[in-house]
Amino acid sequence: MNGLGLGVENLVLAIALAFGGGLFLNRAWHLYRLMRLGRPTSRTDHPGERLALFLEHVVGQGRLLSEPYAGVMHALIFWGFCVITVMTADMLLTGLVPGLTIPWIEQNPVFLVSLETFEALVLIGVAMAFYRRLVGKPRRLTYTGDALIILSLIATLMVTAFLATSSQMAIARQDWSRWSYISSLIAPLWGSPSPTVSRFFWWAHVLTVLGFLAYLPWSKHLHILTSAFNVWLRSTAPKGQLPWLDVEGKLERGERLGAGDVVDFTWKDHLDGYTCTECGRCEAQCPASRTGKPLSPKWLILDLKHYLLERGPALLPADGMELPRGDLTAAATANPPTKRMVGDVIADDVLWDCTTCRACMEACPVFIEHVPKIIEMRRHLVLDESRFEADARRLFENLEASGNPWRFPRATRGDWARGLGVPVLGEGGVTVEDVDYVLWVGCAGAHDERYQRVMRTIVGLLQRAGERFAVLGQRETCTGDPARRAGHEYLYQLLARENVETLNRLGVKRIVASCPHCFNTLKAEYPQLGGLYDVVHHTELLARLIAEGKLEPRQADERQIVYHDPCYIGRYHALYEQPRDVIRAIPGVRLGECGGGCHHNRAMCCGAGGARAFMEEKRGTRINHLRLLQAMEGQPGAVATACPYCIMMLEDATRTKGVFDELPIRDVSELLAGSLDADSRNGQTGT
Amino acid sequence: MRIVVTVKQVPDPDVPPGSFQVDSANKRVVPPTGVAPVMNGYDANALEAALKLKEAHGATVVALSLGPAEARDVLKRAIAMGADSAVLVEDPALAEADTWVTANALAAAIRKMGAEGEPIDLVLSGRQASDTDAGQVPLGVAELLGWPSLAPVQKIDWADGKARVERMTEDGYDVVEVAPPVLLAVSSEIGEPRYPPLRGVMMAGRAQIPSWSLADLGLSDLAPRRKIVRLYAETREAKAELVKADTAADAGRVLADKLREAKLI
Repeated sequence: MNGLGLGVENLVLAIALAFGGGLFLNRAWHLYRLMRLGRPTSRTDHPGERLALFLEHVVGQGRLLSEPYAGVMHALIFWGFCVITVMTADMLLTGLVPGLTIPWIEQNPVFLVSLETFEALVLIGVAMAFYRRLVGKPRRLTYTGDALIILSLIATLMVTAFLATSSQMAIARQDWSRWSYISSLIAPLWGSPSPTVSRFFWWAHVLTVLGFLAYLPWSKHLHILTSAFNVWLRSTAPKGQLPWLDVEGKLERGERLGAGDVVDFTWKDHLDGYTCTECGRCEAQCPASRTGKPLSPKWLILDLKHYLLERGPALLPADGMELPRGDLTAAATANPPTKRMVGDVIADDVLWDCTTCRACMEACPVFIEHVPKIIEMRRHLVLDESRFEADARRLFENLEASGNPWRFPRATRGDWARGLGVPVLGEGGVTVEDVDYVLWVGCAGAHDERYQRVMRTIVGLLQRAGERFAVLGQRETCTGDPARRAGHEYLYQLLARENVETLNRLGVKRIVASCPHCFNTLKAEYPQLGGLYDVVHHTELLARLIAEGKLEPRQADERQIVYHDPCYIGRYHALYEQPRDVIRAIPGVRLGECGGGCHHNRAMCCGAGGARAFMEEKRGTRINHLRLLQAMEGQPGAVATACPYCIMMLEDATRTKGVFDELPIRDVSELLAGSLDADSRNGQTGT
Repeated sequence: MRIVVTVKQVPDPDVPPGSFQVDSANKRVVPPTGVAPVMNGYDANALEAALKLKEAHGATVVALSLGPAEARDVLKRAIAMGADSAVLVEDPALAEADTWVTANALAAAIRKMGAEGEPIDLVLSGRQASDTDAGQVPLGVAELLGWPSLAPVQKIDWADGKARVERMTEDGYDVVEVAPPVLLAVSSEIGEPRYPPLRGVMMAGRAQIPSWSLADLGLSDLAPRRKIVRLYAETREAKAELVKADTAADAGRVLADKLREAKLI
């Protein structure tokens, strides 16, 4: 710096800044306009909740740190950049207008110590990242030159910062120089350098910053700008609630019902694409990816992002300064794509592979919402295109004809309870006044022979505890979960409306459900239809009855019991401990977990969710077999779970693997019933 | 091209047969309650064939059914699948209709359609209905109309104003070229019926389905010709008899006599 006001260097910097910044802004504006091709969605409610999550997962790097190596590596670089960016801004300011600085920082000991510390930590983080990409090579990453360019740029930034500061220090040491303690160590090595050396490194640093800025929006490192927003703007709807679809209205207006083009997603869906860093945590957790199926949640998001970049520009307003506005469906129809989003870019098989288990969404450090996108595209397949496999069709026809997925006559829905003395609401003068809650039976409880036994066991337990409850008998129909998750929103709404009408007419307020899919739909989705109930899962109720002393497990069970978390009570409703509490209450039991850390929110799906229970698994290997192997790593004497479909899938796997007799698959309620006195074993089937 | 597809509403064939009951006093089969009746499977195949012809060559497809008011449901499903319109032949006098009455009423309805609009080129029917499995109505209709008929049909092509039809035989199929009008009784080999698209379902919900009485069809004294003598559920009995004799050779002789008595050898 010549100290004489604006000089050549300042001018050069201004030009470089305008150039680098201009390139950045040009591309960023383009991306923003493309994002705005998405439908509107409001993501500003619940600011407190958003802030809490922001602090935990952006500032605190919560989800990233759940994996130690990658988490620490990323946190070092992230926190480092937060501090270093302040210094960079200061450098640019001073470089443009000599003497202009951010107040309080240039001589502030705390800032200077932090800055140097973080510069060093970022270098460690970058070294860890290089090691991981070049040597460790975990499978979930995508290996591109892009990542290496970015890592090199970051390393260059840190090294040039040290070299610029230390060489400047060697020329003129200041009072506060000692706080830059690392540069102070390097400074003597320079001897007495010419000012040009220091200026060279200063310029190297600044130009790298500008290059980085211009390159950012072309790379996956765009996430450093979008992820904070993406986390803040995540959906605050209940996890188990899919977006509402106005089927009749959209049909009336001739609109597409699902997502078949970029204009059918919301802008937030597109922001998700910009935010994806290709880390692959979703893929590593995905049951479909883990069993060699075409679906990878990571590639789904990236393919959609690339499709937006390719397809989107044709739909933007001609005036480059104008944002897309209004209903863009007409524009999209008038300007059809050469490649269809659903079918060509995202294959049908990919969409049908999803079990909606939510493992991807729980794993994503930046809260990308994979499952709703898959459902939107399934809606497109089913409602707009009528394109699905024969299994899905049979499911839909069975639900239409009989209100259950297997086409048992409606009239037989109450038969499972014969002789149990369970009152039926609305029959024999039984009203809601006579009971504390309704026991929701579900299609499996009513019709599946295996789960009927569980249902009878639950009834026996509740009766023993002196609970006052009733069932709906033939008035109950499928909650609609499999239809909704298979994309048939219309059928879902028909079934759901029927149930909500029945429940509201009978005045039901409290429901106990045993099937986690019914539980989720009743609790999280029926409010969209005006069905507001207090819904608990049977494991929650059983845990409470034990705590209240109404059920006392006495008979010891000396086995190791490995618990398998059903997705729709685990990840969707965080009921991890209640089922385990029931198992722990049994004297002598040792509670085990599935191997490889695959439990709690990392539990792998059994393969039945998202209507997969009713479709043949044709691609890849069997999810239920892999899940059984994970459970068997826990050395179980029995596997416990709390979902009819998990029981079906795991029992099926034990049959195929020839361990059906040695390894019982039991509902938590069955284990509990086996531990009560012999007289309570109502309908229960041995443990 | 104008195609009429005859569709019958039948009890859901996927319901276990054991849940049906026989009312022998009134000589009726009583289906289980709470099971919605459905479109006869072969009729759905016939409709699918008609819709494929419509898509390939352009056609108007009319669905025709005979039955009580509830049979409108299968006609709505036909519209939902893609039929352009539907007609229900409905008359209290048809409650006891047999194949003779049904064939006459359907033939009259088809004649009326032909007379009031464009001529009918094709009538497609399912080869038989899953409730009675008689398979008589389609051929009866053709006979009453004085049209040729082919059954069972596994493939229909349309070219130069003629139908090129594959009729199934014991050991293969015949390829028959036939000029309209013709009735084709379709088998399931022709292809899976489509699942009604949602837009179709919505349209069907609003569709007006006219109902024609026997008087509308000019049929006054139509009496059933079938007489049910007795209606009963088949019972199977198994009896075991041990042949006793002093020696194995004697036992063999006794057994042979008994088998001869039972006319089994």
